[in-house]
Amino acid sequence: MNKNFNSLLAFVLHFRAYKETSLLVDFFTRDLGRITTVAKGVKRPKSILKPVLVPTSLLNIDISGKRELKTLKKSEIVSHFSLSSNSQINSILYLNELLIKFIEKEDPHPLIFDRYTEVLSSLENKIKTGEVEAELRSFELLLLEELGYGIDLYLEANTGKKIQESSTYFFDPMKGFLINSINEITKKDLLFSGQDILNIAKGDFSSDKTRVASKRILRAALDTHLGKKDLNIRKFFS
Amino acid sequence: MKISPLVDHLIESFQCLPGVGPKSAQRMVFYLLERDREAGEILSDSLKNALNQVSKCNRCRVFTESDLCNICESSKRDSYTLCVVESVADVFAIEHSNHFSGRDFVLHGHLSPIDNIGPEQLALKKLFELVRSEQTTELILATNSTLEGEATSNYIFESLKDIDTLKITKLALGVPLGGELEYVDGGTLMHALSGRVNLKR
Ligand SMILES: [Zn+2]
Repeated sequence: MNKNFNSLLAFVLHFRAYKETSLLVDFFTRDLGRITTVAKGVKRPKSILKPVLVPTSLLNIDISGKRELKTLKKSEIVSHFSLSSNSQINSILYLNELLIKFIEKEDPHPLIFDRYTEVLSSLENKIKTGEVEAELRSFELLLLEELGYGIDLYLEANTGKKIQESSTYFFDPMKGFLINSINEITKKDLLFSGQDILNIAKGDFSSDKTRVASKRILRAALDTHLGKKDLNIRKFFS
Repeated sequence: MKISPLVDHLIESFQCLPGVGPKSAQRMVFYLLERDREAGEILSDSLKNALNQVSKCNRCRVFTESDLCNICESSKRDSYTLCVVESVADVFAIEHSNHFSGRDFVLHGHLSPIDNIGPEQLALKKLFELVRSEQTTELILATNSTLEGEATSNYIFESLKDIDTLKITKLALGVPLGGELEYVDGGTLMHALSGRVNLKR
């Protein structure tokens, strides 16, 4: 028997051509997580599924099917985010690749979904590189947290003591921030000031130095947890 | 049901075409074998010839068996205007409008990190060389209005925006001709609104 799911909040992460007039659409839904559906006949002029083609829109969709490949029944735009600048579009492509590579299919993460919605909405008014970066970093922090890879930005990993503004810490993606680590000498690019770590904890990305630090910390963490998978977008736009 | 190795294989082969399933493949095969073997010969010859000889135009990357395609060969085309599209089908669509006299450049895709398609796969270097060597004065970015299409246009724009003599334009998006407003989807309407034109100009 077919299962129906109605009124799912969803974003399109990716689509590719399927047969003559259809598409295979990868959705990120609030309640079901990442799902793949076939949008039959969506390229026909009068298809009611057309809204899936409008980029960066929060959609309300109906789907059916019990197997991995579902069928899209209906799609409506709930709200559209007007994003067209280079940094806006590349940010979305980046987030979408992150979600596809990090989140398993049909594993719901409503908090990540809500944060994704917020990022899109705030990117609408943000065009300065610094502001865009801050949005991306805080999204990455939440993504890792939700997937069980959270980074402790308050406590030193070995001693459990509070991170001090004036101290320097080594970041080990598997353990966290370490003081007096033997790696300090060889891996200088993973050394961070307590000040920057605490700024990130507070969500204060206003200083350039903190932003550079946050980018390095998160990149190391994301790479470690991605394992063998690569984030292609880094090769293309850097 | 299996009939004979050759017939079965032919039915299977037809199913490589988009939109052709087992049923229609079977119908096509029976038609050729039963009613029109001559057409079958022509089909198989032209398929073989095209596959052997057709590659991409050296200049615009449209399909052709010569070094240059007809559009690039023609002296009637404005060689200073270049239109960038994602597919050969897009070239046909633009030709069909009878409203474009410049030349094209086919990317054969769009930037798509998820599919691991980057600037190299789209021969963007070739496009950038072409713009410089032909002293293009207008580059029309006519990629699809999808996220990846936009990213592709942005990338091209960023790479060429410093050429002073080059004007870079983008296709307008809006309400389709004959379209009734209430049936136009929200996203299109949004674009049409933000791209509205001043009538008092
Ligand atoms: Zn050509």
